[in-house]
Amino acid sequence: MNYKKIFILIIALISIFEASAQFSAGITNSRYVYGSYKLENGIKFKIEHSLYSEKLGFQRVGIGAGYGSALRYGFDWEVNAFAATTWNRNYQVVGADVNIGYHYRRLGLYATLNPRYDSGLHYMTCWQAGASVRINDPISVVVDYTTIPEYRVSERRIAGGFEFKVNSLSVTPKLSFSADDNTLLKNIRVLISMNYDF
Amino acid sequence: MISRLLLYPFLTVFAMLFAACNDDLDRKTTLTFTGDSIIARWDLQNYFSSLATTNLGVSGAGIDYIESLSGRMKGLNVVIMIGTNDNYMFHDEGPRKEYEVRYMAALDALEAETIYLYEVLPREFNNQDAVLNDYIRLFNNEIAEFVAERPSIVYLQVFDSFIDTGNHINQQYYNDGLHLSPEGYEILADALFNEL
Repeated sequence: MNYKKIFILIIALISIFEASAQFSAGITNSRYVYGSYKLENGIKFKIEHSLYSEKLGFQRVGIGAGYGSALRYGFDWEVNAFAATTWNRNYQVVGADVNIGYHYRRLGLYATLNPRYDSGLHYMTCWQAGASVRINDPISVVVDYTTIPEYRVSERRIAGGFEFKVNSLSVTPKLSFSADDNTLLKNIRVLISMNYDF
Repeated sequence: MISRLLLYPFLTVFAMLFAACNDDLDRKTTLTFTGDSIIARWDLQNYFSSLATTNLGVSGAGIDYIESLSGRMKGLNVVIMIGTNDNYMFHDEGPRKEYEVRYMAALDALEAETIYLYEVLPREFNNQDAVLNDYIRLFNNEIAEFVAERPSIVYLQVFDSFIDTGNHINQQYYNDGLHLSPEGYEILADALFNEL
């Protein structure tokens, strides 16, 4: 493989991208920090890094790209592809998120299909379904059931909390509980997500 | 300008992923944890977020539980903490020696590729005998001699991290004198990561 040609291609790609885009940054589930930017045509790119309580070699870095749009009658959709690896290349994961949402007055419903391939765990199909109810302008109650891994291994979990949204800033603190029979109400996790649009 | 600057790390990660696809990986990606309630209550994914973990811990388990897993861990990397619920066997030398032989036989019978074996931890629980932690320490030291003969067993000697100079447990690492606090699990996780 000619790495010199790849490097030149990378530089060329960078130069053709539009200068105008929306840049966002945030944290997902207390464990991943990300930066993303969305082009005017709706295509989105994202880079993410883990905040695990582990050494640097076991931290995970990932990239993603996606596109979505609003549909009629309160529906919207988004598809994202992602890939990640640990710095010590212990494992890699690739996959996609296929999201669909519905909003009607104060009620929001959403579902995500998450096919993914982990180099150590192989293929699995995960999913998430949730709802939100807007209490007042800035605050919504959110709840979801998910098998999408919060870390690496797929677990059945229920999470509930609030979303606080003010202008460009949204903060979502949630409590996550294991839904497995033998660990019910154990392994409670505090998950905080935050996003800011610049 | 910002968007273009973001592309540099984005594409760097892409290159890393491409390079990783061509690597021969030979790393331990999956750990199976088994043992007693200290294992059962451990939120493994929270402490080993980048590893594939399975929790087979059972509250109240003793060495008979490990014996029941005979032959079922073939080729796996297994993490074990067991023995605290059998502590009544530690007081007298004869029963303790017999238990140690049984203990090692149970570990051998797992046929695991590698066993990461935690020392039995000190405890102060349910008005127990004050000298129990001395017997636990003695048991751990005697097991260390057996482990030295087995290259497939990595002995995680964490007992001293949980006990102070006055032979009492460090309360900050425990919830109730037996089960661990998040700080206690941090010690176990660090000890294991140092061996991975």
